[in-house]
Amino acid sequence: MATRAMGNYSHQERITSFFHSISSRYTKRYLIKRLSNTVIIFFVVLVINFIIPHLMPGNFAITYALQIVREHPGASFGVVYHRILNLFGLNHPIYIQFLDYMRAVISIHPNFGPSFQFYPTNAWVVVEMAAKWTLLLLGTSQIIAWGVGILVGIYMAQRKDKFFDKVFQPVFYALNTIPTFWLGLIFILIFAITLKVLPPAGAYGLTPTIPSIIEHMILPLSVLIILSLPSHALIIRGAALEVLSSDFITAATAEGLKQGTLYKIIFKNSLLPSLTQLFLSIGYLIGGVMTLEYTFSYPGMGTVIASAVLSEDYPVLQAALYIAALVVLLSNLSADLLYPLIDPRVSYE
Amino acid sequence: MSESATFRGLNNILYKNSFLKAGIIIISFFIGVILVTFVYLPSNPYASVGPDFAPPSYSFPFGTTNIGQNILSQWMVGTGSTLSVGLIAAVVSMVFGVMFGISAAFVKHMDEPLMRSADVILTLPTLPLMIVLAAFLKPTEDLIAIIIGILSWPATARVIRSTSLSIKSQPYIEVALMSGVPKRAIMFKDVFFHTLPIALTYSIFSIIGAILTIASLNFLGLGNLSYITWGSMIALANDSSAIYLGAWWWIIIPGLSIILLSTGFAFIAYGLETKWRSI
Repeated sequence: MATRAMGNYSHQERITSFFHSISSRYTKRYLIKRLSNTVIIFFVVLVINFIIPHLMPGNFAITYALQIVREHPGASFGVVYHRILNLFGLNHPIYIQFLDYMRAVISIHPNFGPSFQFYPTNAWVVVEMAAKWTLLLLGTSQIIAWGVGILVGIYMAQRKDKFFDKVFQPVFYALNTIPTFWLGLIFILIFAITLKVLPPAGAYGLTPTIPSIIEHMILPLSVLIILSLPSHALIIRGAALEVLSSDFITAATAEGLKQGTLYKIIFKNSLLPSLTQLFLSIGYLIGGVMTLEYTFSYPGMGTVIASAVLSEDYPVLQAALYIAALVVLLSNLSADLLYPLIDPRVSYE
Repeated sequence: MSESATFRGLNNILYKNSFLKAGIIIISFFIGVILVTFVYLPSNPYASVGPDFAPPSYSFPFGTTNIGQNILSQWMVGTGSTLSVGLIAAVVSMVFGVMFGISAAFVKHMDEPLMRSADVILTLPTLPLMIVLAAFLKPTEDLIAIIIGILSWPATARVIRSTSLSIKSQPYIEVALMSGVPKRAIMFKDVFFHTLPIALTYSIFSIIGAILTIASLNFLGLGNLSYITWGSMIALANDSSAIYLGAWWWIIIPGLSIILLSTGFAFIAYGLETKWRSI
């Protein structure tokens, strides 16, 4: 295919051949294994989410009803209790309850029951509104950290065992152990309270205008970038070192390879490993983002979870676990689908 | 003679491997603090012994909390509890990791299910899951540590499995099998002792994970905040608006300690990892 000039193909043919060359990277076995893995994990999360309330000591309908009555003193216990019994189908045998639960949850608007704090708003709506802010923070910070990580990693690989590399390796290991929320607190202390240059809390001022959103994002964003940069940089350093030590680079340098071309080769070869690392790190990062949001009172999932913990708002917690698992699962699946593009051997294993 | 050779070997590793050396110094310091806690505490960590929000001074080297508790004694008690929580998680993850890793390598029909469930657990978002578990079931700190250990065995098990597989194909194991040594004896004696150093290295990583996860849970208001760990100290400080009142010492000291302790463990783990790789 490569020997024929691209000009001989029509536009349509070119597109189909592109998709064909991509799809030929995946074996059927690989795709089935990855997709079934994703489905199994999704199912496990749903089952955990279903079981947890049933593991609570006593009858959880009573706990739930008491909690709603405590949050909303006007409500009548009997009415709320019967509504909860009907909602969760607690009079039915356990397998019917499970089927009902699956039917309610697997839909575009999953139903985990009403939030206790914001009764009768659906818990899903509460978490969905917060998830937008979390994804904004997570997405922006990771794109920046990844971009800067590529530059830093290649720079470190080029100066292997020199001063910058030697100093920053232990520094990066140490940065990996900093609790996200703690660095957030320190940044508030330095920039918001001592220097008074940036706002300490919230996502926007009186109204959500773009300048105020950006101003409020700077502190949490820089904490996330500082803490996720090391893993990106170290992965890219490893990939770049592999390229630099390979025979074809030695030969090409001996033949007078230009510096710019060398950079291009290193960049190309370290792009995909770092991209997979980016997707895989989401599962670990989402926890850090949540504690950070609570630190900054950012209206994301972390703050919603913390206030749900405080007022024992169980449906909101379930919806939050569901959406966090969904984000992590999808990012892991994208990482799995990227692997064969880096290394075709992976899809044949 | 062999003893002195081992000693010289160990000495050599420590001398060459500055990461390992730095890590051991850091961890020894904290173990020293724990030992001192057994014989001497400046004051009862729960008792109000000084003025509220007193900055670090000669009588209160780490300052006091919002109700005049001595942060130095809280920090000393917190060292022991933070470390013990991490160790519990590490032991659990090591036991499960070694057990499942070796059985996946040696028992054919266990391999696929064990490694598949490892994949599943590795993909679960740990912190959100722990938050929900802790909020619903209100477990004790030790139980939280055990659950974190259970959630972190897959990483160890994977490495143990691949190491056991390579040991299994070594000529001396084949000779042993052929000369009639039972498979069980090989699994539990030869392979177990060969994979132990690697298992120890990987369980160090789960110490760090457990310390950070429990600190995050405490910070979000989960777990028993009256049980003093460095995480619960930061959580209480945040709840009483310590940063807005300028009580930086209440937040910086436990936070830096978490970082220092975890970095010490990370240095040891990376040092050991490079050592095993070079063999």
